[in-house]
Amino acid sequence: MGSKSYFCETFFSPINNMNKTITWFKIAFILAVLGLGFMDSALAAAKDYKFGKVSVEELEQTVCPFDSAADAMYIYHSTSTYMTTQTDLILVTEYKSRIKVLTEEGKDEANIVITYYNNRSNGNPDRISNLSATVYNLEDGKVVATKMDKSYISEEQISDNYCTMKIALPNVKVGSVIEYRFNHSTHRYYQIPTWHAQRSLPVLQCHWDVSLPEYFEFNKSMAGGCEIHFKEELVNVSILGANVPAKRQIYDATNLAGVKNEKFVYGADNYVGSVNYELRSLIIPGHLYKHFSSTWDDVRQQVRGIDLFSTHMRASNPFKEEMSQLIVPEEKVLVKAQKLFNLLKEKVKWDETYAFSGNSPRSAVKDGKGSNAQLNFLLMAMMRDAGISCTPLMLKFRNNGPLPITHPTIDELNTFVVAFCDEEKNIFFLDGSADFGGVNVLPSKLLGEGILLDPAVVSGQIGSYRLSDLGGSAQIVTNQCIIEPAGKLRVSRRVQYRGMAAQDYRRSFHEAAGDTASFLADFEKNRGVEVNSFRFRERNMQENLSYTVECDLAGDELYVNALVTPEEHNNPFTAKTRQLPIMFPYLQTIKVTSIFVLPDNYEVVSLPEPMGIQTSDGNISAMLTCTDKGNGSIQTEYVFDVSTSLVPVVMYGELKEFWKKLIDMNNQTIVLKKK
Amino acid sequence: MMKIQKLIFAVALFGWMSLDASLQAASLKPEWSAALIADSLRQGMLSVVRCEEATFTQNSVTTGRCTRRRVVTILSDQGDSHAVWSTYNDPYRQLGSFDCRIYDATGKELKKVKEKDLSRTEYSEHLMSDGCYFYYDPGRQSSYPYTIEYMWEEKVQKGISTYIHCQPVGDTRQSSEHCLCQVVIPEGDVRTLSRNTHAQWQRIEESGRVTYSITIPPFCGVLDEDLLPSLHDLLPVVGASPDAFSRNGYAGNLGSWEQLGNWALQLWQGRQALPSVESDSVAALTSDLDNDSDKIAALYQYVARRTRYVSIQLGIGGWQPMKAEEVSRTGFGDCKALANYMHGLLQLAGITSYPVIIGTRHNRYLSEYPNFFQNNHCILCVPQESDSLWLDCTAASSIPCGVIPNTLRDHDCILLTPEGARLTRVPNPVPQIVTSAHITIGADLQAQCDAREVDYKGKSRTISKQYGKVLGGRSQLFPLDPYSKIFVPKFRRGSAYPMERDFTVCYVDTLHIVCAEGVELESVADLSDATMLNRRLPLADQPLAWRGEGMLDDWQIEMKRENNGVCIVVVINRRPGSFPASEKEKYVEQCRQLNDRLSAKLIFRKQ
Repeated sequence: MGSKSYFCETFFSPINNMNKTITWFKIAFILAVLGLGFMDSALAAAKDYKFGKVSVEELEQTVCPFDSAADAMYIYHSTSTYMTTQTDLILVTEYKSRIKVLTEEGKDEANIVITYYNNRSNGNPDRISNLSATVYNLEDGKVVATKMDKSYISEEQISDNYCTMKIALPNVKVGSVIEYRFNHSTHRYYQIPTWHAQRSLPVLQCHWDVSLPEYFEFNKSMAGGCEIHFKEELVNVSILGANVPAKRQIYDATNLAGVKNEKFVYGADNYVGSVNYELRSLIIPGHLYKHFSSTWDDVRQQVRGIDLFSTHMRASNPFKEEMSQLIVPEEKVLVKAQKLFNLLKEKVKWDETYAFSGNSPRSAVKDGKGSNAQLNFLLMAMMRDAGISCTPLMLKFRNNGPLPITHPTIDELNTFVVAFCDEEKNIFFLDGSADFGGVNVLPSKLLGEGILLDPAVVSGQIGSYRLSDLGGSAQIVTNQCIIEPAGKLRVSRRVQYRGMAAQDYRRSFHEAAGDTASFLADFEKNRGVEVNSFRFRERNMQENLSYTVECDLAGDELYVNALVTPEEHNNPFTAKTRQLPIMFPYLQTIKVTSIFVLPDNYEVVSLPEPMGIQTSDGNISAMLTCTDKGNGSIQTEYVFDVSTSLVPVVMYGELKEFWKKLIDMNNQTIVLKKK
Repeated sequence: MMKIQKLIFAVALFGWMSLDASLQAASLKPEWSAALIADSLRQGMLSVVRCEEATFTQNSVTTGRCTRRRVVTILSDQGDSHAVWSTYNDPYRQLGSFDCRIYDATGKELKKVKEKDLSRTEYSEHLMSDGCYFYYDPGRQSSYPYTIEYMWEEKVQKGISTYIHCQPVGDTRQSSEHCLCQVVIPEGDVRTLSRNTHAQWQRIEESGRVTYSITIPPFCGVLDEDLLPSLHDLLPVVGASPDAFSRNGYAGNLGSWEQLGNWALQLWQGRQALPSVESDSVAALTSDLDNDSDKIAALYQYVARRTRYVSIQLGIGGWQPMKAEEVSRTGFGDCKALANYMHGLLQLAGITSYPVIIGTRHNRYLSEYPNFFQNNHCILCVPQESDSLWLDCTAASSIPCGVIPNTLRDHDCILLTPEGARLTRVPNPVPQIVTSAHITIGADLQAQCDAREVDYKGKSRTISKQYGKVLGGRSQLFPLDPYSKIFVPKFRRGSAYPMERDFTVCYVDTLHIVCAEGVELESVADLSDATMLNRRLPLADQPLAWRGEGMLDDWQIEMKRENNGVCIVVVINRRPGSFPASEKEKYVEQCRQLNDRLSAKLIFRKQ
């Protein structure tokens, strides 16, 4: 069912306990909000679209004026958000959209999906009302309207908390204009839906009008690179029987590029053109004063005020006895920390869930498993006993985007990891979910941004960290190669994995669960070789492989790749343009040293010239050097280094060019000749 | 009197003892100890099904209940997904009771899961459906192996079309120890299925009822490999269904595929009528055309323009099409609704057509066991004097009229004709993928390739990229196979499974290579023939041709000089077929030969 999807909800709750089986739902969300184009355009005079008045010109259009490949486009979308009262405060958002169908694929825009909050047990569900949808076609020069048919609306309770409404609109053809509207009302007035100006389809014009009583103070943040015009006026609204002053804030934008899914990005919806409101305080004179957030110190105070959290923070150490035999007081902090972590992981398994406070750490000890938070509370108890200063680093999952810079709020925090420092006051991180990691080696989901609960305990200065910038990941490769006269290269390859690269390797090795053949399949396919022998020692994270590579021969000449086989095979950055910033999973160095032993009857004709490339900011670089050792052997050295986790989209062209050269560097050849 | 007292005492004692026994059993089930699993069944596996039991008891013609039990030992956390349980509920099948226990490696009970702990979702990929799922996922456990036991009951109502369908092993890397299925009916016979197992159904008649039962012996799980036959042909499956059935008052019989088709035929009757505006459209579209195939194409395109696919699975298990007039009004429908609409349009044009019930997952029907689950799609067959046309109206906007999609080619199907349903098969034309490339090798020896690929649906894409390698600044090595069509399968040592390919495809690649001034073809480096190595080929006089014929592939490579360059034509014909494990080595050898030929490179040199 179709691609048009609404999500009437702030999706990422602090503790994401959505059921695994409904991941489609995230997909629907991503489709709805994906993408951010940086389409600079002067705001053309906005047209005044009246719902239900579709023009012949709109029906005659055949192509999006600024995107000839678009399957469909928004002629406009318009949203209006305001408060109303019944017995309680209700937040109403009215949605209106007019979509032009441009291709056969675009016809699917007539399948509309609306997802909304509907708790099965607690009552007070959100409500969808005033639903109306019409399809317009041009028949014999006349505008013909076909209204939606109520018998083709269905609702599904997809989980305990959410419902979807699905609508299939009739009589849709290439050329049709679809127009619909609906109102979404919720008792959760404090959750203003994020307004996504930019969508997966191009948008010709869009508008958001948000009127909120002055009782409500909101922090507002804008994302994306598109130009959104803003104006504000003072109005009066009726709330709780009183006429109260309100701010009416209006956002307008035109000609926004459609944004498709792009790789190398986390939390894409944080980078599309959008406006987000979050409640800062609610002040009803004489009735209520409620402050929601303002600074990170406030947030820290709030977290300390959570009963469960503060109780768990005081949890006692259940492994005192085991620790007394394990820990030698004179040992370095890092050694101790790793030992404690190993002991904890041996005693309590991670249950594959993330939490912020959750259940008691003691119950995890009893069950033999628990959430990352339960494990982390235990780890901190153990660390404190071992004399290691530690504190939670409260974290936003990487997929949920960066932490707000100006308007901190507890809602942005998803979980926490343990921060501790060594004798030199260097800070390190550990997390109970790191089944294949350890100190500063965390699962990719946790490589987001975080703030320390108590900076004084560990660093005293910096309160916030971006964990995707943790260093120390590397693959150190040594190839020993013997070139045989018939043009075969016998290779023995040794790889040392460190940090996040080691974690990735261990995970995929573990996932193969003993099926070495399928574990090696990708390596063999990428490099066009068959592995003769394979060994992996987890203790020192070392992999040993041997295989044979066929060299190219021409005349008396023999050609050998300077890296044995390329480390980088394809340029992932081939799209002409890009809308979203480029993010790498983690910082990493790949270093390949290869030693080639030549056959007696061959001599060196030419070696690749030394090469070095880097991006203008120097953050991504690669180099290759080849040396004739003179004693019938050649040594090559290749280093590829990524020392940033985020490349701004303005550097995309440069990155593309860099990767092209990188692939070229990976294909450099040594030329040998028969004596 | 004494006797009665003794009896009461005995019953009480027995009851007490058995109660005690069941209490003990609740805390420890040594039979589920993971240590009891035979090594042969756990080698390389992620989980082992310890016990799969299903007993269906028929209560009346239209109702019954099925008591089920499934016990799985999960050997490592990689097998976590094998512990997930789910059941689909619709108006015909409802979850009755549910109970679940989790045991540790020794069989000690760790946890009870109750019906209230189940998750429920109505989520579907359809616009509408009348079903929902109950499911349970135990998630990561604190230690492995562990065992999970599910016991539940399903109530069947409003008609029985299947008694039992049971496949104990559902995935690769899963073995099974014990599987028992039983069907208890008041009288008569049932239709039975036992596939990929030697086990046979037994019929016992006693105390006024008939019991059918089958026990599947231990099954050693499957490890994935290249050219592995479909799991459908490897994993044991048993089933039983009634001869006669009824759904929503429509009576049918599963005695043959034709009879199943005749049941469906009733549901289609009287649903093709279209409003007069459609007769006008048909007339306008077809009156100027003088042959049927043009008319069919015109109407097919009309359906493509006017409709879109929207899945609606309501009523009679999703077997009755929406009325044609409803599709005409709304412009959408599911596969059967769109086929029925096209059927109605063709009727207006005076052209005969037959709805076709077909499955996209299975090439062949189980001939002895007609069933519902092998069908999931509906198309239209338009009989013609020579070749019939097969129209998939669901894909009308992406597949040209009369082209058979890969998912349906050579599949068994049922034709619904007014005279009755007919079992037949969709034709199997070989789909071609034709690539035509123009490559220029510049003075700097860089090879730029611009190619156009057209697939069997007529869909084309252009490929523009650099190929070949410039070596040492003086030579260009151009591979014969720039699109990497080489495939040498990998088989596991000692694997006893046959190898199988179930599709056919023909690749035709033409490469025109033009060299810049001063660049010349020096030689063809052919890895398969040492004498060819470094040989200067007199291509002008004598085109070079290599061909081979293998078990599953034929291929042909031709090379000749052309103007100031070379023309290469590579044709690879991949055929379907199945061979025993003993032939694998031979097949790998054949693939290597082709691989070696295609690994040949043209060497161009700058003068």
